[in-house]
Amino acid sequence: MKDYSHQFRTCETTGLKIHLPAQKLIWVNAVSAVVFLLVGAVMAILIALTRWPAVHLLPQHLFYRFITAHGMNMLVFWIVFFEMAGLIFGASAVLKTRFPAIKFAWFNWILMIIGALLVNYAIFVQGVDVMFTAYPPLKGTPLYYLGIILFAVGALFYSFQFFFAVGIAKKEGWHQGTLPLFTFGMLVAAIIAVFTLLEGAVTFVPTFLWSVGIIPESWMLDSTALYRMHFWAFGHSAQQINLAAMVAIWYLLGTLTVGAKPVNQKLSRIAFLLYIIAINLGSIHHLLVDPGLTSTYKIVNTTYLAFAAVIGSLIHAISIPAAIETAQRKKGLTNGLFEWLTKGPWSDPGWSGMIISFVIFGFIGGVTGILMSTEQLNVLHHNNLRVPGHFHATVVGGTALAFMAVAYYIIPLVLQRKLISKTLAKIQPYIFGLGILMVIMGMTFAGLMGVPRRHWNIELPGIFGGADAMLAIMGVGAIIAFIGLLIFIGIAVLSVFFGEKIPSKMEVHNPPFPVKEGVSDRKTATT
Amino acid sequence: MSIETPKNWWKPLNKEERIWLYIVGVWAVILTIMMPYGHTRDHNISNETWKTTTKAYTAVSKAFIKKYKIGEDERGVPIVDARNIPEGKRGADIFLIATRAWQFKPHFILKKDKKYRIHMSSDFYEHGFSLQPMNLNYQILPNRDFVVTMTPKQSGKFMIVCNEYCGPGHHNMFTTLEVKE
Repeated sequence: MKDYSHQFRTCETTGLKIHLPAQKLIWVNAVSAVVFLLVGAVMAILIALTRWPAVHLLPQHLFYRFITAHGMNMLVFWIVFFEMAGLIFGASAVLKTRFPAIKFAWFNWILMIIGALLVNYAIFVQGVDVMFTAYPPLKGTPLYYLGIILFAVGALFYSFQFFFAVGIAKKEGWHQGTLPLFTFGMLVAAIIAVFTLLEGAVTFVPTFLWSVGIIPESWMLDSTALYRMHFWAFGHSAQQINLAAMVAIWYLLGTLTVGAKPVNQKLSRIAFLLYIIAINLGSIHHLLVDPGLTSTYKIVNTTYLAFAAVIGSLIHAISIPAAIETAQRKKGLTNGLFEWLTKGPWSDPGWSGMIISFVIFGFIGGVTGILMSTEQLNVLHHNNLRVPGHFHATVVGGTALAFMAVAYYIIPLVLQRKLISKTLAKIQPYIFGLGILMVIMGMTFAGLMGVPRRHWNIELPGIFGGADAMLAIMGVGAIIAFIGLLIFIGIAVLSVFFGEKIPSKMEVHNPPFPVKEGVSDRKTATT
Repeated sequence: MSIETPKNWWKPLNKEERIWLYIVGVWAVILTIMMPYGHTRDHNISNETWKTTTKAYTAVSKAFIKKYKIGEDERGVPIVDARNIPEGKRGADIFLIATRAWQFKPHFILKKDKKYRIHMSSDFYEHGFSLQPMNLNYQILPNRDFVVTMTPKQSGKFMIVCNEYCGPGHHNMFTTLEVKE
């Protein structure tokens, strides 16, 4: 075996051994994520100010184009790049192991970055405005579909590399026994990612072939229903990757902020397994008011199977607060029912971000999601603003805020830079949380009044006047959330490039469970 | 720690965890029963879909509008008076088309308490059928004739708005549905 013992440094806070080539990969993926977050954020404020009827900022063609850009940059590029950083962290530092195939990992990053740039080029220069969903016969340019495919292939390779890294850690004796819970959660995310990205290929390869003229338009016109099924098996499952990664990060944040230990790891792990088994089948809830599917099919897919996954989430909903409460009570915060919560480290952005994302995701995102995926109720929700209201609670208030909270730890611990402003970091989760909460509420209640999503001017039909106040709340919330986002991006980027360097403590690190020469070698064993 | 595995992590659940799991289980069973229950109470959306082609549906819709047209509204959309269409056993068939030029056709006049079978399809893009202010939403696909049976119980003026993005003219897509005594 090659000697890797000099490629490690020790993190003084957590005792993790960080493989330096992996650290560079985490750096490049996290920085790419934040760059696309900035693009998506600028799009977000522009479209929110257009939907606020009193402002109505953008002309129609730019509005639809910028929603497309907002969807791709936020929902795909920012989140997936950040998750790739999480996968590498989970498979190297947490296991105290080396990350294998470093060059291949760089190649995957290059694939993803080219894909992301191609998509943005197609949207902004070639003027693709087909939305994130890109339902045919709405047609993008070949470069748009090619970009998505390249990005997905890079992410798929990263997932395989994660499995490979876990295997290497066992084989070379870096790690023994059960995977730590964080890595286990990321493993679940990676498994769901493989399914998701294969469905992405089923969706976008034929679409790409159609855009270059190989598949005739009549085929696409006849397969719109089929496209919708495969698209959502990709599009919604992608959110389950976020879910698994976010829950894993909540556990990690509990440990990093107050030293929480999961009370019963068996229960937490079973909950993660329920995600793999059940959650992707629930994606059919996007098709609940589609022609062609029977009620029985819809009910089976959205009840029995989706609820198994919801049980998983509800288990995490007790086991994460329980872990935190136990850790806090051990510190002597035992007065009353809630002292463990009220006397938490509220000036630590990791803590406040975690709690706020927990509340927004669980109480708003989860509840609205269950309502929407009920077969008979979906007809009241489909494609109106309540849908974006729901997924801004899950993906933005939940996942994105949890990612931001953990970034405040990743920057000093993994990327070795001090935060440039602790004061701003302290208030950022509150500003962003408040803003996004207003956005979610404004959207949800406007949706209740029937306001459609992705609509440039709801004044035209002349029936949505009552929703103006709700859309104004959304607009004001968007401004506050945008300020919160800019503070995060400013802190993250400036700290990573100009923050004070934290010196690394290099230490020789060898596999703690060395494999005896020859034993793992089959040839020697048989002879 | 979530970054280290304790030695004996496979252990029985404690009392609080068990109670919570029972609550969750009961709740999941209740929700699971709700949907099949709604199924028996006829709360489902329509299951009736016919395969068609954009060309054939356009022709059907044109013939329908030609037969029952009584004029045009202020936006130039043909007005169809569907009050006297024979009802038959399953309801009176009326046809809504979502066109490539971002229009819904026609503008309907329906009769209160009469049963209608609203056929909806598209001549190219996907669209959304959103009946306001009831806030009932359906998906419209090309090559599929989706039939929703409805009986208007209330007279007045309603709007059908497109809520599935269908290209740069999306926001111009709406039509009126009037219900008269």
